[in-house]
Amino acid sequence: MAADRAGWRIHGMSVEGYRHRRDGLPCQDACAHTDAGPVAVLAVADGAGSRPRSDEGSRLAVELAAEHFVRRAAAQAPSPPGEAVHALLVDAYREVTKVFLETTGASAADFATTLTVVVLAPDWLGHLSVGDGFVVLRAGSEDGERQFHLLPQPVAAGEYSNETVFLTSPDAARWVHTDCVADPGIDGVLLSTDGLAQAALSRSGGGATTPNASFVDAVFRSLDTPGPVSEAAHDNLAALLRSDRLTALNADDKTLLRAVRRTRR
Amino acid sequence: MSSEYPPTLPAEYADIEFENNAQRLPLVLCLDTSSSMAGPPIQTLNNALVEWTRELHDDVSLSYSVEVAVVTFGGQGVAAWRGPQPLAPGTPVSPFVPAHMFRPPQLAAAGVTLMTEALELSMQIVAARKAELRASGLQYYRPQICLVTDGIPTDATGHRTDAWHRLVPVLAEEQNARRFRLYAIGVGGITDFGEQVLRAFAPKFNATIQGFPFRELLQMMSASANAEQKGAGDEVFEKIFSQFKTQRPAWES
Repeated sequence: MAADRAGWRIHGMSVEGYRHRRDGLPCQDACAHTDAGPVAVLAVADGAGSRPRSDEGSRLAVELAAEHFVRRAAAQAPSPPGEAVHALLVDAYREVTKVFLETTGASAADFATTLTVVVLAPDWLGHLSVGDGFVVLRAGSEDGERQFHLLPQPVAAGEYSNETVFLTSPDAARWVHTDCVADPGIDGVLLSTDGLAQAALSRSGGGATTPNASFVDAVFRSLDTPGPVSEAAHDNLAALLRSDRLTALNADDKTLLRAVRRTRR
Repeated sequence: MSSEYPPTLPAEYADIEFENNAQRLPLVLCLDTSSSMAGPPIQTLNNALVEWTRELHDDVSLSYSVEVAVVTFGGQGVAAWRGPQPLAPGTPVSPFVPAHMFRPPQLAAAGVTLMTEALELSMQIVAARKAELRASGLQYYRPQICLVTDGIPTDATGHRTDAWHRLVPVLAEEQNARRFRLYAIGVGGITDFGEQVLRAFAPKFNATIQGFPFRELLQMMSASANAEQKGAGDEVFEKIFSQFKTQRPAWES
């Protein structure tokens, strides 16, 4: 999928991981994006591996998120940014959850999925996440090196890396994390599910988690080329996400949705 | 199984520097090497370890994630192995080896059955490994300990002992707190009393298997590791285990 509106060039995909491919199972990740006027919305979701219909759940979650977040943000994009943005994000999230639970009914838990959303408005960037998806921003440079920033993630749900919170978790609202960033220097945004956490993030030394600059720089750079995303560029990203090198780090499904500014301000 | 995925990265991504930060899955093989395992059983076990190691190396999803440690109980006592090397008692070196670098030990059978002490050592090395992984900022899955025996717990002089009773509440608490999954497998001519001990150690995941089907046993551990990576529910582990328990050759049923 690709788009070139609202001032941003947007492109991304979800690919099935090694284990799902081997077992003939569908990709349980999904991503979507949309725009309305000057606002763009990007969403990624990771369906729970232990749930039978989580591939449908992740797809439903990103579609609902694209629809509801863009409608609210385009109708009344708050300015200046601040509390009003957090409120807008939480309200849109409530709408998404409501429709999600109405649609999936009594078997909602079978559709369990995480959800990470970014709203790109002219004066701010809003981020809402439930579960272990993550967002990296490109903004500014130091000594000629582009700078990358990992947005804060919700606190880990448990000791083990395969435990997380889902949209359908009974107390999900407690675990929803929101951010509002106002920085005109942001010219790249990357959303991903936890399948890329090892490749795109660095946890060395037990200190804070930071972006793996060589990874995020490469995937942003390939989208900086002006004009529509070529078939070769699309295939190359798919080949990267399916490579043995990434599979060795994480055999789960992978999603990468990225946006770069068409023209730097 | 080898990956069908393109082995090399596209040129525009070839310069990405990856860290070796795969999510880890510590796996302890806690193996009986007492005198009753001498002869064909220990040879079967050694052969199975060699074949399993090859499969593990070829499994792209497990080879950088699973970390293998071997604990044996036999001879004069218990020993932790780092791949093919037995570690001196009290050494600060971790016995865990990434699966893609693991080489199996060549085990010999003799001596007594310090099963209780071996399980205690297994729990210690798992706790220590978790602390190391946390300190280096690496994420991990719930560890697995697989106990395999054909006997009953003895003391250092080879006499049956009740010392194993002290482990039962400890293991119950540890498993309840989800600190690891424990599989307890009786093989060969294990007695009713031996089975009783395994049931007390691992109420959910214990089994008695005819003969010495170590290949199937190790494959079950790989299947369980895969399920763990997937975030599967307990029912999946129970299914994998019950398939393993019932896969007896047709001539037995």
